[in-house]
Amino acid sequence: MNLNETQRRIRWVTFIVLIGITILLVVLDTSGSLDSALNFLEDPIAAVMGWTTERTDVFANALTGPEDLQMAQAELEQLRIQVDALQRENEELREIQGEYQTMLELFDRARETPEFTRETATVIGYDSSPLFRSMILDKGSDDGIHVGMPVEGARGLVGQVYRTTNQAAMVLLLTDNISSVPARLGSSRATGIARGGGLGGAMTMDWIELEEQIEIGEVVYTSGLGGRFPQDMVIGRITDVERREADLFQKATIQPATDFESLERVFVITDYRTIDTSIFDTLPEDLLDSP
Amino acid sequence: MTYGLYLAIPLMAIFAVLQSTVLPRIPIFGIVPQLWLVATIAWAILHGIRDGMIWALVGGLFIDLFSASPLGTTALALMAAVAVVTLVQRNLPQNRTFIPVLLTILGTFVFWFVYLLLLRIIVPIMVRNMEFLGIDTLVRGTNAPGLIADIASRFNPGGLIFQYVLVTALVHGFMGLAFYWGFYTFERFVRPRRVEI
Repeated sequence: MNLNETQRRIRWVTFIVLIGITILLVVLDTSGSLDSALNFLEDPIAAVMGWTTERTDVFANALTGPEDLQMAQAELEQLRIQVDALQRENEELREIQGEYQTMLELFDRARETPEFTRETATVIGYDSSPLFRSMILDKGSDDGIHVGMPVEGARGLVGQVYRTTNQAAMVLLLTDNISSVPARLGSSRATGIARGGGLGGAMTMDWIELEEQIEIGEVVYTSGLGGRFPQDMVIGRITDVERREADLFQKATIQPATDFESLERVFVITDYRTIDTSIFDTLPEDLLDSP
Repeated sequence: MTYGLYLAIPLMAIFAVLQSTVLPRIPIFGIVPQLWLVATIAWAILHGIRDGMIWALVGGLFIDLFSASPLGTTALALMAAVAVVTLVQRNLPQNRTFIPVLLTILGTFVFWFVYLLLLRIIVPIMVRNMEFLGIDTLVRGTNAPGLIADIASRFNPGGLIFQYVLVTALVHGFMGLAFYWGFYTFERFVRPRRVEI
């Protein structure tokens, strides 16, 4: 037997042994006999693989990073534009909701007193002097608005028209110094005059008979006396009472029902039924004839 | 007279509209600054009493158009403020930064004093003539004089009104400086100084 033949035999034996080991491993693995041995080997390898993968990711990110960053920045810019658009839309919707709410309150008010004829108007300005409390409306004599007409908001009486042009009207607010409205209290039925306090002053109800028992929290309504305002329109609520035995009349502080600073839309009452007192202006004939 | 009148009409119209619409919504320290008053005094300091009076008349009339105050009261009070400011200015050193500040504060006080005085006199007459207010029927005739006197007393320059005027004067003082330098720069731009060689 020469050397070459010996080497060939060794090679074949090696092949057979390797194949045999492989088959043995397959058989052992299939039967589950190798699990503990494989775990013993796999754990350190898995740790090494994890470490290698992490480093590979960092390296790959470093290579592809600038491209991803540009994409991310572009996406961010798009999202910013979307956010801005949504914010604008949100503000517009809030504005519409506010207007809707105001209109709803006004129409609720209109439904309560359907006998009045009203003209809706928008507030376009306020008094240019801080000593006076008035506002300017976008409707004037062309729309049938005249001096003296009462103006109401969703929560109650606002004031009275005191000057008009063709396209605008100026309204003297209840809180103005010169505003005086005949008023009646809801519970005690006491009457008096609701007057504005002007700059920094509180609205008051004056000329209330001393014997009247007024309670804090009572609602103040228009009495309708004099015919300048319809009766039972809400003016405000009593917050304080000033009563001195030495005086002829007592006085109460009123918290107005309307927030005059945030008024946007109002109703001008162009027609309402007033109490006709003209009959009392002339004496009856039998009285004139009597000596 | 300079070009003041032609500038006063559009400028005061703009100020009156701003005063009635935008400024009430952005108060400073609780007060609404009166741009027309500050602008008039700044112009009067720069151009003298005659131009100042024209600005006062135009500005006052525009402001009264958007107010419940009797027409002309603001103009009269503003003219008084311009007169006092220009008189005092003659006795003060020129070219001092604080002069416009002091004069605007002084002008604001004079304006408010005269304005309140005029209102105390005119408003009772105005109220009596406003038939829609129905003052006589309100208090059955007997208490009408008392009611009118009470309305007049609301224009006393004390208490809350004094506090308001004080804060207004201080805010106006700083605004006066800005308006003065604004008008001064505008003047130099429109009419540059002549240099003789």
